[in-house]
This record gives sequence, structure tokens and C-alpha cells, in this order.
Amino acid sequence: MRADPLYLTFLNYLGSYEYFFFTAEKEIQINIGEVGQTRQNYFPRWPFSYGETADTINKSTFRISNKGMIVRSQHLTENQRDVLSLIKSSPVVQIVYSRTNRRTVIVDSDSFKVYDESETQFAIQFTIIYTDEIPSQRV
Amino acid sequence: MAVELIARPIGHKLSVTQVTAVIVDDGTGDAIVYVAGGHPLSDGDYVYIESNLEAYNGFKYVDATAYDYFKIKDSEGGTFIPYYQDQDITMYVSVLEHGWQSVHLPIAYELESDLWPENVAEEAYNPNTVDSFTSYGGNTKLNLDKALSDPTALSFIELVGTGVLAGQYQILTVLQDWEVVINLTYDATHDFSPYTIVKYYNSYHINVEVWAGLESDHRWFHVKPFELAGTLKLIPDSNGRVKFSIHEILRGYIATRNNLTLNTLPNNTDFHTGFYIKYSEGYDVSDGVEITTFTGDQTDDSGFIGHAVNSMMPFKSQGSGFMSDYLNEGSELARWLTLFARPLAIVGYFFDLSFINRYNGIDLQATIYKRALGHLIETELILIENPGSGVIRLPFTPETGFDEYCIRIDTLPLTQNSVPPLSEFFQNSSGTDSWTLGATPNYSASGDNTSNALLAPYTLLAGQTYEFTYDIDVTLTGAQVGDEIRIGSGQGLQDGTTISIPSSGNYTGTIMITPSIDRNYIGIGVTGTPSSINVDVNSLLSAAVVIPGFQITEQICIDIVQECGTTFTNDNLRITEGQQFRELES
Repeated sequence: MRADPLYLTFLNYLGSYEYFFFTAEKEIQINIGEVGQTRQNYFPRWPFSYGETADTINKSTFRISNKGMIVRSQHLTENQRDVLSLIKSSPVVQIVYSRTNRRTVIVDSDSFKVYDESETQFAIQFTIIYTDEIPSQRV
Repeated sequence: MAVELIARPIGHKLSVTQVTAVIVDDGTGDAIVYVAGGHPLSDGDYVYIESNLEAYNGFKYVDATAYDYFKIKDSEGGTFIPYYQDQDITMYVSVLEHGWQSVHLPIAYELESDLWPENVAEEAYNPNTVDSFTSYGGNTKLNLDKALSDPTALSFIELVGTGVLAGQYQILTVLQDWEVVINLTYDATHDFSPYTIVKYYNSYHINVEVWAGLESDHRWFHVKPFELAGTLKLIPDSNGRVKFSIHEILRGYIATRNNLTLNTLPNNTDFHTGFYIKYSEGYDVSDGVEITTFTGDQTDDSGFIGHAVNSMMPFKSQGSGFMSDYLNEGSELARWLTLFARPLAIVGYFFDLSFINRYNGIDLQATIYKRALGHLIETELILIENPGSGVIRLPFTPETGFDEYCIRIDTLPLTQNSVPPLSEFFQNSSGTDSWTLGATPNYSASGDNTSNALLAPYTLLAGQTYEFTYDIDVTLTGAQVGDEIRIGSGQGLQDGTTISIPSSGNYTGTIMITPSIDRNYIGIGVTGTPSSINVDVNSLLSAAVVIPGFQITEQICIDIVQECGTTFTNDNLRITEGQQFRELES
């Protein structure tokens, strides 16, 4: 198992960007937003459309989905916990790949947890959602 | 007076030095602060007071009465804080007045009119009463004690006083300037004796233009030049005052995005705009036939340029929406725009920190002290060439071999720019008469007159002393009473020197200017009264000034760590609700 790092930046309320490197285990999610399904009319190709070599009666026409990720932090100090908690209220959160390559994500508003590991050690967990859709064809 | 600006959005950066004092009665019912051993304050300074009495608390304007006493107001135009009871106080002196604040919180101005809703000005200097009244076609004809100022049919007067007749009336007919017919049904029992008659300014309003952009001496002026951002039409309240915020307009000049390839970097011009206002009053006027809207002369307040930053200060901040803690002044350094006590940066990964620079025309230098195990290994100097005022991003990528970077920003020694040639001077609209611009600017006027300010861009830093030499020819005709020339800084010619002109001749000399706050202009103004005056400015030159470098930000230290390793022990694991493991340390 490998700690898969995630480098995030977010706009703080002072008007500058904070950076943090999340090294704890994260989870990938696929969120299905909308599904289109249609029922085939099997009469035009009757009886083949209903016989032994028939394909389907109901079929999917499109699926709109996007990727999400549960982000977990390593041990944090109290100050780091307080600052990183503000990521939930930030209007700009991005995954940083390089100075010129970033991806804007949205922090799921219902996903925030803070763990008190001890009196001086904390950890946080939240979900980020990609703003783009996973590519897929329409039938 | 008409319209006067009584409050600008000015914040105060406080000294960290605590001063204890006591508030006592000054003998007239006002509170007065007594500082044992004396205080260094003068009129116009501000202090922040903490005590157990609410009336004494907060930011207060100083009116120094003695070396160890001063009285306090909420603002320059306010009234003295009344005395309630003796009180021990703790106070902090404001070392910097500034206009840097959050664009997501109110950026408030306050204007006051003495014409509406009460015509205080005319009521005070021209009290007018009704000598007699008669019927005129069923309406009331008033014979006044003295003439009204420019009465016309369809305009309004007001009966000021207590009684059923108090209120506004329209003039139907003007027979004489002191004899008018108003739209009040005649009744022989009317009693006008309790009332004063004044002109009433119907549909009175104050027009405010909001200008947003960057100053002409800003390096990135051409990217975001000052432009008219919006116009407000405001009606004063029952006290003749109107308080308004322009932050919603200015938000249009702030782009909330993370553009690391912005053409103006390291100045993040997306996150900053300057602003100022112009204002005038308007009301209905009549020529006897038709009512039109009159708009008065506009007052330009660009002598004060504020700065809106893409920030939102938390509730219960001492400075409300002002960025006082993030600005520097003297030994009081600016904080970095980060909430981390010790930010964490990763070797090989892009990182940046932001700070506010309030100077134009000055080079900055970032010093990075790179340490490992507590030992200074390397010092890197990064030149930030004249970034201009605003939010400055300092980008860097940590290198291996270090576990701590400590960073501070200083200005580089500055050789002050020289005053532009006279042919490049311009003028504002602050006076009654204009200059004729050119290689030898000329001012010629007669009667009681005040020139516009003749100005050129020139950076003057607060607390620094600048020397100027002048050569001016003056010709006076007629009686001379109070002719004078003023050379000063900023559009208001502040912190300058006034040169008395008792007779015609050539005036040369040297003056020193030590601005109390940063100024962006050097200028000349003339006051002539009551003679005819003719002024030719032959030269205005500055002596070379070298301003030593000084520190502007606090030193901030950043932990530098390597990217996480690939192994860990079971002690570092916690099981998650999804039956996965999260690693706590690596």
C-alpha cells in the first residue's frame, strides 16, 4: 500500500492561496448525476428482436458522471487543522500538478470530519468533486 | 458649503506599544485624556482606546490641548466625546492612516449637505421673516423681510419653524424678490410669526461617481487604468447626511481566480483595485416656465486613493474590514497573507506566498534564509523589480537539502525620481481659476481667487524628507492683502509650505516636505485676494534623495519536507468507515 499524495491549494479569506500536501489514504468515487434509459420497440424486427439472438429490451442512452475523492490528512497541528478546515468555505480549491497545470474541484459541503487523535494531534477528512464529467458516448 | 465629505474609508495601523492614561472631565463636560509624563500626539492623530466605558472605546480622533492632555472625537468632523466618569484606559497610537480594505465588506463614505433637508446655510446667514401677507387670487401673497435669493415661479420655499404652516410651498408668482405668491390658500387667521423663510431645494440629491483602477504612477496603470466604475444618486437623511458603501461596485474590478500566468505577476492585479470618488449636488431649478435639474460643480476626491483587496476579514476583527495588520509602517511590519503559523512546502512542488505592497516605483527584495537542522546553509536574494502597489505573490519551489525556509521582504535603497518637467504638469479642479499649462505654467486671476492645484506625479513616502527649489515670478496689481503660493504634496498640497507674496517680484527658495502619509503628487497652488495676480512658474526641482532600504514584512518560516515515503507501520493506520485504512504519518 502506498500513501498517494494529493497537493491542494485554496483561496483563504485574506486574499491569497494556501497550499497543503495530503499524504494519507484517499478513496476514489464515481458519482452518477443523471441516467438516460429507453425501451426498444421490438416489433419492427419481430421475431428476431425477441428470439434467441435478441440483444436487449431496455438500454442505457447516456450517463452523466463525475469523479470524486475522499481526501484524508496526515496528523495535523491545531493551527493546521484550523486553517485546513477553512477549505470547506473557500470558493476556489484546486489540485496542483504544477505552476501551469491545476484542476479546480468543489469541496462537498456535507463531507467534512475532524478527528482528534490526541490533545495535540488532529486529522481531517473531506470529499472533493471534479467539476468535469467522465467522458462517455450517447446512444 | 453645500456638500462636504465628512468621512472617508480610512483605517489605522496601531503601534504595538501600550500606553496607559486616564480620562477625566475637562471642566466643560467633555472627556479629556491625561497622559502622565506627556504624549507625542498632535491634532489629526488617531488612537485606539480600550476601557470599561463604551463611549470612550474604539478609534478616536485626537485634538491635542496640551503636552499631556488631549480631547477625543469619533472623527475629524465629529463632536467631542462627552465626559461620563473618570476612567483608566489603555490606548494604542495609530502609526499609519490608510485606505486598504476588504472588497467584500463595506467601503463607506459619508457626505453632508447643508442645503437639504434643512437649508441650514441660508437660514443661518440670511434669516428671512414675513412682514405681512394678503390674498392674491385666493392664494397667499407674502411680503418678506428681505429679498429671496433668485426667486422664480415654480420654485419652492420652506417655512421653517414649529406650527401647522411649517413645510414646503411652491412659488406661483414672483412680484418682487421680497414679494411672492405661494400655493397656500389665503386665511386671514394665519400666523407666520413663528417661521423663518428659506429657499427649498426640491428633488435634492447628491451624485457620486465611483472611479476604480490603478494610479498613473503604478507600473501596471495601463492594464487597469482608472475609469468611471459607477454612479450613485443619493438622498441625505433627516440630518443632511448620507452614508454609502461602494464595495459592491468595486467587486466588479476584482477577479477571483488563481491565474499563475497573469501578465502582471508577481503583482496579482486580479485581487486589487484602487478607488476614489467625485461628488456633486443636484436639485430642481426653475426659469419661471420650466423646471429642470441643476447639477453643481463636481468635487474631485482623488487626493485620497483607497485600495480594495479580494479579502473578507473575519467578524470581530479589530480593524473591521481594514487590512491594517497586513501593511507596514516603520518598525511595525506587515503580516503575510497566510493563516498558517508555519506553512508547509514540499521539495520540488510549486509554492507561493502573498503580501501587500503599498508602494509604487520601488524595487523590493525577498530574502530566503535556507536552513537545515537549525543551521543557515544558504541565503537567496530575489529581486522583485518595481511590482507596484497591490497583492504581491512570491513564487518558489523548495529545493532538497533544507528543512526550513525563512522569508522576509525589504525595499531596496531608492534614489528618488526627479520632478517631471513643467510642461508635463497638469491641473485638477480644486480652485476657482485655472492655470495655462506649458513649459512655464501661468496663472492669472483677479478678485478673491484660488488656483487649481498644478500637479505632477511624484512619489513621497511618509516620514521621508524631500527638498525642492522653486523659481516663480509674480506680478500683483491693486491692493495686496493675502496673496500666497503653496507648494505641497498630494492633490490637496498637503504637508507643504505656504509662501507669502507681499509684492511683485521673483521668488526663489528651498522648501522641505515631510509627508505624514504616502503621497503621489507634488504641486503648486496660488491664492490671490483681492488684487489681480499673475504667476509664472519658471522651475520646480527636487534635490536628490536616497531612501535607504527598509523591511516591510515580518519574517515567516516555512517547514520544508520531502515528498512522503512509500512505507509505514501499522501504528500509523486508522481504519476508515469504508473499511479502508488512512495513514496518519509517513
